[in-house]
Amino acid sequence: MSMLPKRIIKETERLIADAAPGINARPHEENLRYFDVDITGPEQSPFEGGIFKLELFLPEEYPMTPPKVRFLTRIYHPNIDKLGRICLDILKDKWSPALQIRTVLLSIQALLSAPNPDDPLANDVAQHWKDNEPEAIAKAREWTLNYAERITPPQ
Amino acid sequence: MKFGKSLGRTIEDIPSEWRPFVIQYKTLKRSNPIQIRPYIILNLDAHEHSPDIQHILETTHTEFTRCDSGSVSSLLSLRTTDSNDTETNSDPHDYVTDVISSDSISPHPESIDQSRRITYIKLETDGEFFNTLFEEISQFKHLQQQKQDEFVNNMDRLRELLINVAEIFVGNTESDRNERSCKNAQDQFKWFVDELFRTELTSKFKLNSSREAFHEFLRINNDLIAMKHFQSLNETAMSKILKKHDKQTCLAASPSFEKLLENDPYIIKNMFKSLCFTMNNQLSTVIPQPEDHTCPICTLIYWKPIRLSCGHVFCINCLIKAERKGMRNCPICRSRDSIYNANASNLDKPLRNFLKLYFPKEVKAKQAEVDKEAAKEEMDMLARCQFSTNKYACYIM
Repeated sequence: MSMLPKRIIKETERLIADAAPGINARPHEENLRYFDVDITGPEQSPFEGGIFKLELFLPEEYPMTPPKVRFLTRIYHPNIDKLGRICLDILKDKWSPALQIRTVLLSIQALLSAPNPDDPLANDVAQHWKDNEPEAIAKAREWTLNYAERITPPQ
Repeated sequence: MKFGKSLGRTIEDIPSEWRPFVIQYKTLKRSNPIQIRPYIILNLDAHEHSPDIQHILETTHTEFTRCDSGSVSSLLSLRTTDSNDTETNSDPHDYVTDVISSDSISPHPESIDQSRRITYIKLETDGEFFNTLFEEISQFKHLQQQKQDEFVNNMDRLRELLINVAEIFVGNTESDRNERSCKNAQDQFKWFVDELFRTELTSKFKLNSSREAFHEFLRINNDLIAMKHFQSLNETAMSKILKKHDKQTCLAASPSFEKLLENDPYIIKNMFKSLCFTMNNQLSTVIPQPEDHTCPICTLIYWKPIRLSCGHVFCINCLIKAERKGMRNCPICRSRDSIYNANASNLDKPLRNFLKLYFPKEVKAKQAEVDKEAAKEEMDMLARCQFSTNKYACYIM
């Protein structure tokens, strides 16, 4: 494997030293292009109180190609499918090399606050959101409790 | 005794006009009051042995109060516990005066708190000692304040000089950073000056005013270091004399005296921090910093900077790579076809020359990076050609 570009080193340093609130990203020791990410569910969203695990990978051509990001924790969201794939324009055709790991993760955090059922990835969830939003939100909250609940240490 | 001598010697390194402000260690030593506590203990012991009242001496410590005139009086507080409540409340005064009379110290109103009581005794001679020390310190502080103002003024002047002179060498930035990161700058400053002489940067100055600015800068640094030295000397002198005082009088006064100083408006220890901050504020806005000229794509210093029609700047290499990926718009503002329409005329020559002049080291490093990348690409290309000729030779030929 080739040497890690300066940009990735700089970005990693900043991610660790000056983390964005509610976002925690750490690279694997054996592969510095592979990150374990935790995103805290935003307040006043059905994902509040949950911690969602994601994986992020920087392809060889990064930053000319977008990072690959996927949810590992199950989540009931119209733009995230069963496999954790995310429908977000900046991860696809709207990618710009001026974006960074930090900005991508912030965008994902914002997507949790503002689900967009008109641009769905998980069709059934999006339909549910459109047909009966309160019920869909309730279900998302339930999933958060079931799958993404904060683990409190035993007393 | 040893410290008094070494103080006398080191004083000679200090600018003569500052000398009167050094703490008068020897005078203070002479005025140090002696042996107060044993007398008090003795008297307390006498009470302890009396059958009806038992005072158990818990702690003694010294407190300070400041009068309106600015003078300090030192109070000895004795915290005692009485085993017999009813008895003690009756004759606190007796007890105090007893202590006092043996010691030529005037009594001070004391406060009583049920079973526990704190007795305050005003210590006259001790107060005198602290008054002298306090005066010394305020003189010293006054000098520091004056010097600080001077530094700030100098900084302003230097800043103006720098603004006037467009061509300032990179070294200034370097040393500015050193000063910030390391307050004990003497060695580093020496290194910096040596480095300067080695590289003969001074001879490269074209304008007279840049030479002036440079000398001003050196002078400020020298003053700053002398001040630092002076300050630490005074600090040691103060702590030494306090220690001596504590030892001779058996009063644990130094912690509370330090507390008293902390409340002062001019906190001695913060002076250097604030100076560095001023320096930072004043100079780094004028002196170019490499961090202000990095490409948002590779995060390194611009190499052949291209200014797109929208005004955003990137390295030429980064834009070529982006264009190969089919990107046409500005990576930052997505301005339409910004990359696509860029050509040789978009090269920002003034910026390129500026970077070469101010950050030769960074530009060189970036150049090496670019060369390495190009070589790698070439190798890849070669390998691919070989691979394809081998594999598809029969199809092509």
